[in-house]
Amino acid sequence: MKKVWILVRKEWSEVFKNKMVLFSVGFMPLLLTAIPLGILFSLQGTTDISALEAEFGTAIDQLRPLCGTLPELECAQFLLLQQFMVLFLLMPAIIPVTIAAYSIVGEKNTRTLEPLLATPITTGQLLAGKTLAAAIPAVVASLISFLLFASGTALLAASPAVAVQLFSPLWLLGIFVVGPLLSLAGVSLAVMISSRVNEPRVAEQMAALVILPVMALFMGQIFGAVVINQQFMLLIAGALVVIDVALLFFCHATLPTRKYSYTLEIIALVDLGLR
Amino acid sequence: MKQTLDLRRIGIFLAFAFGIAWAIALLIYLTGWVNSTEELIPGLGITLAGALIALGYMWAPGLAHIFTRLITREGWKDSGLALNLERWGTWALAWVLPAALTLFGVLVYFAVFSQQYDPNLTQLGELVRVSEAATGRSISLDLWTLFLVQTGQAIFIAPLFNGFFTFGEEFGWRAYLQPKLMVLGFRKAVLLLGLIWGAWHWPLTAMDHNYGLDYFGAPWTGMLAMVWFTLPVGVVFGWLALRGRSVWPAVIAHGAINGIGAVGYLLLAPAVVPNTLLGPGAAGILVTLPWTLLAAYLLWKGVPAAPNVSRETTHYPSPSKETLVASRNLTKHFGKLAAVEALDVDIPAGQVFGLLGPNGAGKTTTIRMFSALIAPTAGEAWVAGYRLGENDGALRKSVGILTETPGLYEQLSAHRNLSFFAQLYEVEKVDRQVQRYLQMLGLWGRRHESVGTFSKGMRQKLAIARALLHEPKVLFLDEPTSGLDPEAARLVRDFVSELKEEGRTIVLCTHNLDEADRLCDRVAVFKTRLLALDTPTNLRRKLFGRAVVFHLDEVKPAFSNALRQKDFVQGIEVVKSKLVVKLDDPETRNPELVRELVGLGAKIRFVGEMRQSLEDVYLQLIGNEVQK
Repeated sequence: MKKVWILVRKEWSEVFKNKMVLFSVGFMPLLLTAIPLGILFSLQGTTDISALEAEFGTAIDQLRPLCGTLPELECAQFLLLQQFMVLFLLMPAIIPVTIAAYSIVGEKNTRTLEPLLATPITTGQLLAGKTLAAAIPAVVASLISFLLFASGTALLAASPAVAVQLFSPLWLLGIFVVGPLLSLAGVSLAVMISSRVNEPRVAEQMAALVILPVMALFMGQIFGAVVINQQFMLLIAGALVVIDVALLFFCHATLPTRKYSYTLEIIALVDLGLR
Repeated sequence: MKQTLDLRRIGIFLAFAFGIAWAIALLIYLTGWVNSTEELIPGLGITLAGALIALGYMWAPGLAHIFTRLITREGWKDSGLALNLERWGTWALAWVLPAALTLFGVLVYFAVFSQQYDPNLTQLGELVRVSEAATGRSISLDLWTLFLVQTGQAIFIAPLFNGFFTFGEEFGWRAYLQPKLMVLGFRKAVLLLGLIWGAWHWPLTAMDHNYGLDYFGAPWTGMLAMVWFTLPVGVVFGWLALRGRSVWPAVIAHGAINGIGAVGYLLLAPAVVPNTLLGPGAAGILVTLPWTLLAAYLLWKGVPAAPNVSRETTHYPSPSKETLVASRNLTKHFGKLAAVEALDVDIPAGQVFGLLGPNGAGKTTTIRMFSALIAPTAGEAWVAGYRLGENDGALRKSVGILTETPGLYEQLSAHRNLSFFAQLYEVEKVDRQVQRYLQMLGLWGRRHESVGTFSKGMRQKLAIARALLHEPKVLFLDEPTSGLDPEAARLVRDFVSELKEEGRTIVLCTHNLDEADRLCDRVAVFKTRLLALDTPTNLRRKLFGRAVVFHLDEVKPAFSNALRQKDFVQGIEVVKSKLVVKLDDPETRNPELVRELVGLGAKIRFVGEMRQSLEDVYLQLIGNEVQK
């Protein structure tokens, strides 16, 4: 575990020297927090849940139970805000993709991978270090922005009860479990892609596909095709646990193991002009 | 010493594979689920028995692979899952080969059973009738329609659709068991694997019989037919797995053949051919005919060793404790290219050993193998007392490597670069050690500056410091002075001299032959294979012999004539005022030669040994190799 943290600290000191990376980690969560709060601010005059019926249609009947004991106005505001809650699941998956996609292919390009693999670090430690270095900042940034979002809601909503409702088991599960799991899935897929390509841009393009399922979920919810309730969230969490375990297994079993190092074989082939 | 079968792991694997599979088969058989038509998921046609067979039985070998590795702490090296997409040819083969071979077999079947064959009586015929009723269009079910249906199924649908199920099998048989059996050689390994695989299939054929899918006859004849079927098919799958250096081509091919089997149900239903051994059983055997021919060809021809799949059958005795680096038959192939071929070296402790050779000779590849960075294709190596592939973590901790390019983190400072690597090497007093080497190499004053601002020479020095931080027993230096200006190159060379005086064991790859001559105790001239290995002096003597040069005032013919009479003189050459005398033992013979020349009136100004440069030796050896 010690070597994992050594690697994580090195990654951070290297990555965060780049101001643009720092900006992308910090700016997007702030923007995605500001948008729903801005909408909430603009809707302060809404008095009835019926105003939402035009947008939600018949789905409003399925959604109403999510409000619990909230009165009509608060319920309307809560349901509106909830549409944006998926963004907080999206953030930890999107933010680290660029960092993760560059992680191994970057070392290949700067020729630092060979000295790194020549140390006694194991494949598991290397992958864990790379994965955590990308995932942790994203998860922390998402949690901070969620807390900002909740605080903003407490101030701007009709009553603080709306903000309290955001901390329902559904969204606690979403923010604290599904978000980090999604992050882990995205990052391990990106690291896997990163170690198999020779060009950072290819890695970034391919890793960007990671966010498509989450985007689909977001759009599905916006258009009423998907209703996110507790069962659905539990199902996603369960599926993500399986997906994460499978991805980590494949990552470890197929990728840069030194005995059978595909990554270094590629470097060797490039050196010999065969690739 | 012969490498033996890893019976413990093979036993555990087989116990899991057969245990899980046959327990599921027994469960299905005893509970009668096999006859149940109740669907597990309504509308999808998936019965409980079907799901258990697909997910339990078919995946049993794959699960056995995972369990065995976990239980025996084998790790996940060589798991067979590498995609190796650069081998497109094998992938194409995996898609096309099963389709082509099986279609050929089906055509032979039609030819043999053409009298009995009536497509309208098959289950496919029934499907066609339903389709005609639904669409109102007439569908002609001739031989070519069947052929096209079969082709589409075999090439496009089956490999992907069935890949999920066949992966379970292949991940067990071809990814785990086959490499374990390869110590027997390809022929025995794939034949044995085919038999085991066939035996494993038997409960499936028994259940299929019960299920009414009697395509290979009754259970016992079904077992024989299945073993017969799996032998040739298994040989071809095994060959594909070896060729592709991964299990995926075998998964694809297996998916295709399973899909063809499924279509086979529709084509060769019991309604057409009597349910006897000579009915569907014969169909199975005939369909297998082309597979058998191909398998026989592969077995007869023998299959070349697949790169990266170690089929080494010999374990060499470990070298003595004084030898810090040793290799026996060390070989590395990249596809068809042989980078290093059968390298045998022994480097004792405290020696500076030079690896000399042209670009692409395999020097860097050799260093990478010695540093446990890439695996050899064959052969063995020992470094710092560790056998390569056994405890590579400890091996890496005992060696330092200066790579061809420094490979430093340019955004980080010199100090941060070194402290990061010192921590990974588990150096005890990181700061002290980093300070020691930064001061030693004159970089302490710039320790906080980003490496990106450093000159090439400074980077090289920093990379050398990195290689030494953990005080390795063996140091590999790949082109340490390449691209440096003369001053920086000299600084690096002097530093290596100091390390030599400290008694470090160093393996030096270089193109600078003067450098090698000065620094190395022994050198190996190398071009994929070893051309010569000795001290620079001995190499000179072996190639050019020894010679004494007499610098005279004047060379007279009488001098050379007199010396030629001596039986120990091997040759004489006159170059201007110099007399070059070739002989074996100048230390003993020189006085006699001098006396003779003085006696003949020669005025000797100077006597010295003729010295060839290491460059002459190198060019001679490489030149000979190129001529070959």
